[in-house]
Amino acid sequence: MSLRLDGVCVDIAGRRIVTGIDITVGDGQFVGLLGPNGSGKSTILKAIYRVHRPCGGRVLLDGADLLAMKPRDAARRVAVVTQEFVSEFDFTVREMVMIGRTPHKQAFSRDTEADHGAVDEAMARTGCGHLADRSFTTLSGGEKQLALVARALAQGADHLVVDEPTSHLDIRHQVEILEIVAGLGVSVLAALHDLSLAALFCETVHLLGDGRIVAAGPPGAVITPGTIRAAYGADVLVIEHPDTGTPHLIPRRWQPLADKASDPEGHPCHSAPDAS
Amino acid sequence: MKTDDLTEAPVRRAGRRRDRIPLPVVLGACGVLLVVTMTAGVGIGSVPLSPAAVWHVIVDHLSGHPANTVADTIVWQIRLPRVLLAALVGAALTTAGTVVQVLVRNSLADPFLLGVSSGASVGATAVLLLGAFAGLGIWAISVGSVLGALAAMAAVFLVSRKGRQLAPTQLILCGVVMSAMFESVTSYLIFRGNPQATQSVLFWLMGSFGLASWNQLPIPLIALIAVMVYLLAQGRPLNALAMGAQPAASLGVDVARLRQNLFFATSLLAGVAVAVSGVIGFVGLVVPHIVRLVVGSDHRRVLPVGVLFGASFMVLGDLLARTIVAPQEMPIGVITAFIGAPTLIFLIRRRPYLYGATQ
Repeated sequence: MSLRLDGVCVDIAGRRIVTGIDITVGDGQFVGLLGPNGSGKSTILKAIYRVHRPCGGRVLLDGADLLAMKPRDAARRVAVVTQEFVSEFDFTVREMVMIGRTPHKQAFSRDTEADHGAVDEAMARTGCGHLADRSFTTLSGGEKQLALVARALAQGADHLVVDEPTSHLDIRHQVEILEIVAGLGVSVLAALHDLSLAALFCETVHLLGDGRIVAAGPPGAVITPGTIRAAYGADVLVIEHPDTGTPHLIPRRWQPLADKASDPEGHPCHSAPDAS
Repeated sequence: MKTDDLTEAPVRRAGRRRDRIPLPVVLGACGVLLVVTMTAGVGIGSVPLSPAAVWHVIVDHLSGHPANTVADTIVWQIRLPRVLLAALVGAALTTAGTVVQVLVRNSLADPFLLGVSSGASVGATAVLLLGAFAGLGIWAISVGSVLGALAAMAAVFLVSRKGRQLAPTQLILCGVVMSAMFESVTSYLIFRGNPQATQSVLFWLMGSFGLASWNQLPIPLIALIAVMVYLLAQGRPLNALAMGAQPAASLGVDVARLRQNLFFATSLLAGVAVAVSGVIGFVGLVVPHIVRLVVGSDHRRVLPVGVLFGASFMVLGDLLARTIVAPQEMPIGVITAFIGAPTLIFLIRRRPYLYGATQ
């Protein structure tokens, strides 16, 4: 089971947004898509779930053209978790998660025991069973995201496309959401904002800059001060995570504070030798 | 969650649990309500009739042995078609309102948002003031308003289309702008028309079931049934679309096609309703909210309950319209707005998060 993007490019309103995107998500892999705001992370994901149609390249699911499949059939294999704010309609969490069953149902068909079973299991695995009868609109950001992961899970897909699931969440919920997603046993392609967090969870990451992949590979190889400066134009220090050895970013100020600058040897950084 | 912010706790608790009443119970209650309001609607009037007398006439007719009495004439010729038409229009406007709110993902949308009513008004005004389609007799107003509604619908559809997409914001903008344009045409026609005809235009614009007759019933009935069958088949995709276009796409829904079909379905219902009864406001806006408040937002529940409750609401509104200042008759739009506006304000104050105020 694999999801593969092969030379995908996307135009929006006549403008090339991303070009020549090659990404492979192997069976059960957690692959990260990194890059600055506006670099095309979401655009690439939307090309997978049919919001944008690629103007070139292919999206392959187990070698078959995903975009040539019927929308329903594609949705049974690839589920999506995005940032969502449903404020106009009052659905309970259980009803929300049940909407995940949509691609499995025919017109007029009722919710069967199997559907309820899938919904209960999805809520249990994401730890939001206790929220089942709460109104979705009254949930906190973290709880909403849990419910959305549950909905994707109820969809019964073996591939998960995740678009910045952790922005706006506190540190506990950031880790919780990614931990749950990583523990589902499905193949994951996730656009992530936080590079350190991405390094902690992803087996492979792809770094986007200006609509192209500028670096790809294991996080340790991709997330370096040099690539970050190239892609983001930001000056950072990269240290090793004490637990995992994965790269961890430390931002730097543009202008060093006067009193701290007098002691440049003082900080505990043992990386970023080429930082200016 | 343990990490919940304490200051937010009271607000949260207000919406903590949603225990949904089982659908058959709600449908049963609304069914009873509809029968009661319709019986009252037929029974109450200048010549009051008991519920037993009302049903006697109906049973006589259904069994094929109509009695030749005054009660028979009043019930069968005058009041029953009127009550049935009110019920149909109430159901149609409620359904159209429910769907248009999903289509543009805005709870303040109503069936007339997409320009149908203002287009129909131009057509009807042209008939009433300029004598257009005079050869069609009593059907002239209906034909005129249907043509006007179709023209407005086509204009909004073509202007707001971007490729294959009907985007909510474009729809709202085009709908509002086109409505304003058509309304100015209506105003111009009224300004140029003679005062007596203007009176009937104003009355029509505010809506009435005063001209109801049996032969007006089949078209709205067929439209309502056809659209309802389609919408109930699309219950799940409708729910998915309520989440937003992109989530719906990720759930395997062909969003562009669904939106197009919903646009035509609502325009058809609103257009038919306007053709037979004029522009009756607020029902299509308020009743969907009342229904959602009771049964939640799952459209497989909202739509059937909305049909029954919307029908009851309109029958009751029409009953008030013709009894409050009897023997005169008030335009029903006055009643629906008078009941609808406070109801909506009550709902907004009670459930602020329904209207996007949570963030």
